Amino acid sequence: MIQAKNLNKIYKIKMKKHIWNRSEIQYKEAVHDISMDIEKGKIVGLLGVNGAGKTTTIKMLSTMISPSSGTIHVDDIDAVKFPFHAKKIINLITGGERNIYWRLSARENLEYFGSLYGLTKTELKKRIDYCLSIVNLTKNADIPVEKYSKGMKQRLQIARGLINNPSYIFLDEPTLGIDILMAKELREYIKRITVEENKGVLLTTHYIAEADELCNYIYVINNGKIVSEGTANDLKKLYTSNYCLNFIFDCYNKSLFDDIAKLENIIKIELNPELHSIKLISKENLIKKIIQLSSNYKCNINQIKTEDSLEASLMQILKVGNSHA
Amino acid sequence: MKPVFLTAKAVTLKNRIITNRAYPLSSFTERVVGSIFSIIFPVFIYYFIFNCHISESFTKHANTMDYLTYIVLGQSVNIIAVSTLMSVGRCMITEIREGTLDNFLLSPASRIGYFLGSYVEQFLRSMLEFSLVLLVGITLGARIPAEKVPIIALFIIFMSLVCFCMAILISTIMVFTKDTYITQNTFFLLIDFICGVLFPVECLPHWLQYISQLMPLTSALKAFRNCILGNQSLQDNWILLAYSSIISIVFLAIGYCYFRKFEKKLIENIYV
Ligand SMILES: Nc1ncnc2c1ncn2[C@@H]1O[C@H](COP(=O)(O)OP(=O)(O)OP(=O)(O)O)[C@@H](O)[C@H]1O
Ligand SMILES: [Mg+2]
Repeated sequence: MIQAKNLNKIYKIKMKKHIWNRSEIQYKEAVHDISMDIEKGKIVGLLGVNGAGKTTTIKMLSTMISPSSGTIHVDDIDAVKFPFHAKKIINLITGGERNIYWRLSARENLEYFGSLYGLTKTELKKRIDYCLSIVNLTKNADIPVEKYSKGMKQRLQIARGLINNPSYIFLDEPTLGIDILMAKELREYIKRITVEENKGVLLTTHYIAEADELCNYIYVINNGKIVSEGTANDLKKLYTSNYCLNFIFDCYNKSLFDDIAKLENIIKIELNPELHSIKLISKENLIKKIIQLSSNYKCNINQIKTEDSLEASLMQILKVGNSHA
Repeated sequence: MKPVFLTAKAVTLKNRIITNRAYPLSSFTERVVGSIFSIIFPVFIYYFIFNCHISESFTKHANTMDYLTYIVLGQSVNIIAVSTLMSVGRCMITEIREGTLDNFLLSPASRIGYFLGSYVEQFLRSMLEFSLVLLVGITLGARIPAEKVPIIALFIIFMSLVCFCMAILISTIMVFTKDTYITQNTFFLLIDFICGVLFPVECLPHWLQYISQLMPLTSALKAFRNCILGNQSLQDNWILLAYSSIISIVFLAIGYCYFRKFEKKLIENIYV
């Protein structure tokens, strides 16, 4: 288990107006008193707006930068004092295309990075074939990376992050720039290794649905502080006072649709005459009233879907957080 | 294999592939041509302007009348220094600028292995450059007896290691000041003028002589010339060689320890 306690990070930024001026030092508190646990076999999500402090947190946990204060334990290894012991069993995958050698092929890249983790030749070959097959790059393994598309480069980053078979994987926006099919496969893969190979995963993402689908536990941070935590369902319940409903009728009846649109407490409504459907977010549960109305108009309902939207609750959490700040 | 060597090997391979694919010959040619000119200029000045006259103070301090051989030896060592400093010294900052160093720092790989790897990768290249310059020098009239070849080989490996130690300090300075231009040219200037490449250190003002003793190359180069020009043996020069080794190790230790101590700050300061 990774246990982080009371992490703080204060960046020092030197500003120079002119070359002859003395530099002015500014301090930026990027992370304030964050504690979190990452258990093996679990996926933990870290959500927040741009600049909330997600990457800073991940960089501290992955021993890339040291916290200004606080402790990090990776399986009982003090990762702040002995980063080199911790480094062996963790890895970090970030979004973006840099970070790999464009002049080398995928295989050469992985051979290099694998050797940095002390893998011997035979281990390395096996592991590389495995990692390449996971991200679907086996066919293009021997082409220089500069000839890759953006998504292929991102997939290579993912293969690189798995090269040392880490016990804990940090993912900083891993699906950035990846197509939906590959992203779906990747999410399934992440889920699978978490359970089957008992790995601990920490994930940041801006795709809320992704977090909803994957994470066993979510931390929401804002301005460097944890403003809320819990399972996706906890968060939805805690903060959603809104109802999100989806109706499909068997026919389109203009007066019915008009009547529904006139109901009270609706925040947002989308009418779709072609699909005979209505999607609405309301403050009150309107199911009964709508069923009543539709039977008045003798219009059958084919489907009702209710959704809790993690997105809606996140909006609320962040609004609350900002009003405190 | 030990992790140090595993890392070194990986870095060597990686750098080799990148160099071969990126600029196979250009930098090599540039440096060889540059250093051939750096021999030709002083030699021409010596022949055509000073008409082969050298001052007494030179003869006294350099222990030789043979300015041509003197300068060929100096410049051939100079090219090893330039070559090593440009490859090993700049390796890490280049990776920072290209954004590829993060994953290295993320890994538990040996840091000294990284430097060793980049050293090994350029070793043969710098030996080749050295030999070319020496051959041109001999064609121009430098007198280097055949029986001195083994001792030259020994010296060159020693010099190359001395330059490696300097390169690590330079790499650290570059990485933490984010500057290559000033650092690199300051060192080249120091090597050219105060390490005794072109003229004996004793011709410098006193205070500069002290600074020149802080460069490990100065005493190494002096011992080299003593052995080749002055017909002394390695044993006669052991003090110079030991002194040079100690200063080199100090360079290495300062560079490496500072790097290790502030390694984590590095990622903080490259804000990407
Ligand atoms: N190296 C640095 N030096 C100074 N300030 C920094 C540094 N890195 C981050 N910051 C600041 O710290 C804050 C948090 O940044 P961080 O990169 O952790 O955000 P993030 O949550 O990852 O955002 P995003 O969603 O955009 O990736 C920001 O205000 C940023 O400007
Ligand atoms: Mg980020």
